[in-house]
Amino acid sequence: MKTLDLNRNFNQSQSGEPLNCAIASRMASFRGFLYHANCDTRSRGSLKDGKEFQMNRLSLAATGLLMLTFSSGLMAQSANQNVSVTVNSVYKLAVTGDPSPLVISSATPGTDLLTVVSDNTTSYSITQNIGATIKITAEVDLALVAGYALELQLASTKGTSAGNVDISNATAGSAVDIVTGIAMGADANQSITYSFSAIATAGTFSGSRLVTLTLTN
Amino acid sequence: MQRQPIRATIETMRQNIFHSALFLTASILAFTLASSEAMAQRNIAQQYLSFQVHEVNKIDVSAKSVRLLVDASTIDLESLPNAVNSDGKLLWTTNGADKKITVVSSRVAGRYELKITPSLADAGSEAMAKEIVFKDDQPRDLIVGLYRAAGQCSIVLSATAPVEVGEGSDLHLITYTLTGI
Repeated sequence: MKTLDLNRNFNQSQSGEPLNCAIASRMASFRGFLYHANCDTRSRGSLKDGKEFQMNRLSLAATGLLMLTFSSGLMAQSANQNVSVTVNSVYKLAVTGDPSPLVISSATPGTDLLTVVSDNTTSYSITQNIGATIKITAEVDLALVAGYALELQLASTKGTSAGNVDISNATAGSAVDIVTGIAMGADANQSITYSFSAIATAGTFSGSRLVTLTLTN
Repeated sequence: MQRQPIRATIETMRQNIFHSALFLTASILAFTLASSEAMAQRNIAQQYLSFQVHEVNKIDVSAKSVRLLVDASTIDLESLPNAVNSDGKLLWTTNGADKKITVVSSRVAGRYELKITPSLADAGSEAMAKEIVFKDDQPRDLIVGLYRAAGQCSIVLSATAPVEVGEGSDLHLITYTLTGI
């Protein structure tokens, strides 16, 4: 192995331009020379001895390629990660607000049943991925007084609607089925129709009720 | 010292990989938590309903036009010539209390006496009917005691034509009114 003083021999290229010390040291190693650790890139010298290292473009390119390969090997790393995806059961029900007040103010002479009033200004939407046994039930917070009746009808494209269902006495614990056999998927903007009726013998009335619709299986 | 840049590069790359893995893990964890929150869905929906039943008073008569004809075929030698018609029915519905039906004729003084008699077969147990003879244009109570009921009754109209009055015709517009006491 021949030893070269980089300060002396590699601070300038053959053309007189200063060399990068790292490149110079690689080149020296490649060509079979030992090199000193001390490499002052600022000092400028000239290649004088017979042992001076001839830097040519081919050597420079080969060394560069070697460094690039080595660098690429450093960046070519990988990391593995296990990812698990879970889909829970989804069942969601929403309505578009409250219906308008249901007001009875007319009748047909000679009949006890006063003129029935209805409201279909609201709608509901559901989404479920559980199965085909899902249904919608309805209940009221307080039963209606005798002589007054409230019916509910829910349209459905995913299940079977029971039509007009009397929910006047469907209090908590006795909810009634309104739509059954709802298939998986989404059913959006289906109409909700309430019908309120009263008989003359029941007299006048003013009140409110909270209707709860439940999506369940 | 020439190896320092390479070691620094390696170390930087190791740190970058670690930070990337940490960020990716945190992102997946955050997504999972968010999805779980979204899946804490509502399976109920509620609607608030308000009701009102106003006081309703409705009345109607089935026969809108009735003709009473006194001619030879209706004359009974034992009584004054008269004509009777029971085609009409009076129907009413009220959900109020203490109601009555009054009747009035537009003709103040007719040549021939006109009488109205309601038949309360379906008027309700508390209703009472009165026979009215139209003599002036004042309303008279025809049926009283109506309370939250729907009912009907037959209206019997009868006209009497004394022979000394002669022939002629009287036209009456009879108005039935469901009202309070």
